[in-house]
Amino acid sequence: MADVALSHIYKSYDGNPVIADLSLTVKSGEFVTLLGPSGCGKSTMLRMIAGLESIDKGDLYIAGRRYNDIPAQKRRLAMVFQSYALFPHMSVRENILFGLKINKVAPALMEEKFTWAIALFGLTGLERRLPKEISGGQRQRVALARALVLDPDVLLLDEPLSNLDAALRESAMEELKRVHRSVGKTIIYVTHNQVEAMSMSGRIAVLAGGNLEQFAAPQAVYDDPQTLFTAGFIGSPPMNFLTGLLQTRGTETGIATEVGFIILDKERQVRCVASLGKKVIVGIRPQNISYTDHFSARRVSDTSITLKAELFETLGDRNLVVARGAGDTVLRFLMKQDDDILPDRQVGVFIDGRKIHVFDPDTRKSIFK
Amino acid sequence: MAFKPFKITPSARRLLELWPLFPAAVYLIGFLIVVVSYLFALSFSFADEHGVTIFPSFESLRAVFAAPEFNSAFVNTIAFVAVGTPLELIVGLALALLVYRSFHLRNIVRSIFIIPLAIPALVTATMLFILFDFPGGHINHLLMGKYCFLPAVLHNPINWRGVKLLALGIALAGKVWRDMPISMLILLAGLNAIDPELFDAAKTMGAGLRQRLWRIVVPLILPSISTVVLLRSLEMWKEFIFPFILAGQNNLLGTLIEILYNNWGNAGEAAVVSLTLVVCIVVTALVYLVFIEFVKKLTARR
Ligand SMILES: Nc1ncnc2c1ncn2[C@@H]1O[C@H](COP(=O)(O)OP(=O)(O)OP(=O)(O)O)[C@@H](O)[C@H]1O
Ligand SMILES: [Mg+2]
Repeated sequence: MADVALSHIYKSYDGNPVIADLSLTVKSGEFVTLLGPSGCGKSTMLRMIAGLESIDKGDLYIAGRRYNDIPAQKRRLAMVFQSYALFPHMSVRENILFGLKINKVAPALMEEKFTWAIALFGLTGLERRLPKEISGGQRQRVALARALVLDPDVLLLDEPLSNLDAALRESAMEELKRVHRSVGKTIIYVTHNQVEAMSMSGRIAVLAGGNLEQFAAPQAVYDDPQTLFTAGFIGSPPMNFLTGLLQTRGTETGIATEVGFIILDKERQVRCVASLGKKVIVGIRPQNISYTDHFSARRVSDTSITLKAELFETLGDRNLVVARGAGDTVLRFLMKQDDDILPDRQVGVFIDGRKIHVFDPDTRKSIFK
Repeated sequence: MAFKPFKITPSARRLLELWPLFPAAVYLIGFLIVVVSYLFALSFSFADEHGVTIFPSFESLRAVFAAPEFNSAFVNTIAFVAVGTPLELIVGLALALLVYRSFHLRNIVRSIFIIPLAIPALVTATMLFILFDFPGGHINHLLMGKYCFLPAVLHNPINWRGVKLLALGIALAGKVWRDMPISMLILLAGLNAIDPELFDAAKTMGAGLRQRLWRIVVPLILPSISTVVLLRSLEMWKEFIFPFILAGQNNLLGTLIEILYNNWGNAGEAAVVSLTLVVCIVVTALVYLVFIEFVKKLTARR
């Protein structure tokens, strides 16, 4: 059991900064995901924690102890690599036992752990196969088993599911969650897949260009994105963005945009008074623009606007509508399968004032206090 | 009438694909047959005192195997193979690891280590000859303090090439020095084929440098290692130039052939020694193949 604390970490390759002043604390037993686009420095972070990459500046603490100068082989961490990095010349059994042999674990205990691991990961019967003789999903489980038998304080996972197909990934995610619950290890998980991040982690650290954009629980990251980047990166289909002016008209505060005056709900109105009169960027998720022909469904905080439907994309349970509003503004929203919107028709939609995100275009941060 | 494509069965296709190799194969096999049959003919003929050639005769064979020169040359050659092959492997592996680990300068470092191969063996051997000359070689001068920067350690020069073990040792050192780039390049290719994440994985599991070397590197470059062992041991058997220049009277089989043929004009006995060398090389190759099969079975899976 150990917490992992990164404090003001810097890292650069050949003078190009990859991580800049990043601080992050992972609590003992927590499942934290580092989520970000390709090349944002996730693997670099993980490799620094594992000791495979040096830290240019800043401190790394594990269980309260400074770890910067402790070599990788002395840190009690285990890492699962994106490529799994199974030893090709060793059988499944030898791969799983490798670390135990290196650490001179007693044969009886070794056998006990091996039996536990192959049962936990459903690898029975594959013990004597070489890595090339098992499937991708099985390889991933061997890599996990190999890491877990070492009983590490911290488990580091670098996109372990990215090579799996959708169905396998789903079951692997469940398996990982189950493992986390049963062994209770501190897990730091790297992915660029928001579904994985959302469904497994206790907290998500959103990274972009080596900066920590937000570090919060999945629901909070989704409901309250603190930066423009997080808002655009999290959620599918991606958020709509409009520019406008934050102002008060009559009794309501809202944003004057080309498609109309979008009202904020009372709670949000209070949180944004400091920015009144400023130019802002409004973010609205497609899920929060609704089409309904019952006018009575409208809430007081909803804004009603008119759009012209142009394109439809089927998402299975719902359709994504790409529509155009005044000033050629393109907005995407979702409609239920039984809604009947026809192409090139004007439709009235409601924007949910309780779910509007407003960002300062200069700082690219949320203006809500 | 439509053109009907010519049908080829898969086995015929495979034969057809081998067709371009045919001239080379004929040439090689023909060459071998001519040379080896001539070697046999020479080995089993004997010119008596009247100049009449007797065939077949075991006289050359008997004379060679009875001669103490042959025995010592045979022992010397075996020593070359037995010491030189592992030495080339170890030096090659050490250099390959060094080049592999010198990340940014890898290309430069590698080029530096290839230099010995660019110098003709004869030049290298002659350089060593001059260095270890007696009484006036550079090494002697150096040890006697004739160069300003070093104190004298010796009063009298040493006849380096006059001592059998030293002479052979210098010859072997020259050979290993010149050929180390070959082993290095083969082993480096093997190293470069390993996914570096395997080392990272081993590290995170607690493996130190030595454990990574023995448990990951060596097993994974076993094919390269066995290539080196085969190539270098065959080379050691037939080594000529370094002992010829540097080892003086201490012959190897390779130099003995030259001496018998050119100095003593004894083609029959030279042929017998050559034949012995051929047999040794074939036996080495066979032993190697058996050994590789054995290692494969051993490392298969447990
Ligand atoms: N050894 C290296 N030398 C130079 N630059 C590097 C090195 N390793 C990584 N980088 C750079 O650092 C940045 C971060 O790399 P990193 O591998 O951490 O990204 P990542 O977030 O894991 O991306 P992905 O999701 O594609 O794996 C990238 O821009 C990459 O080009
Ligand atoms: Mg990565």
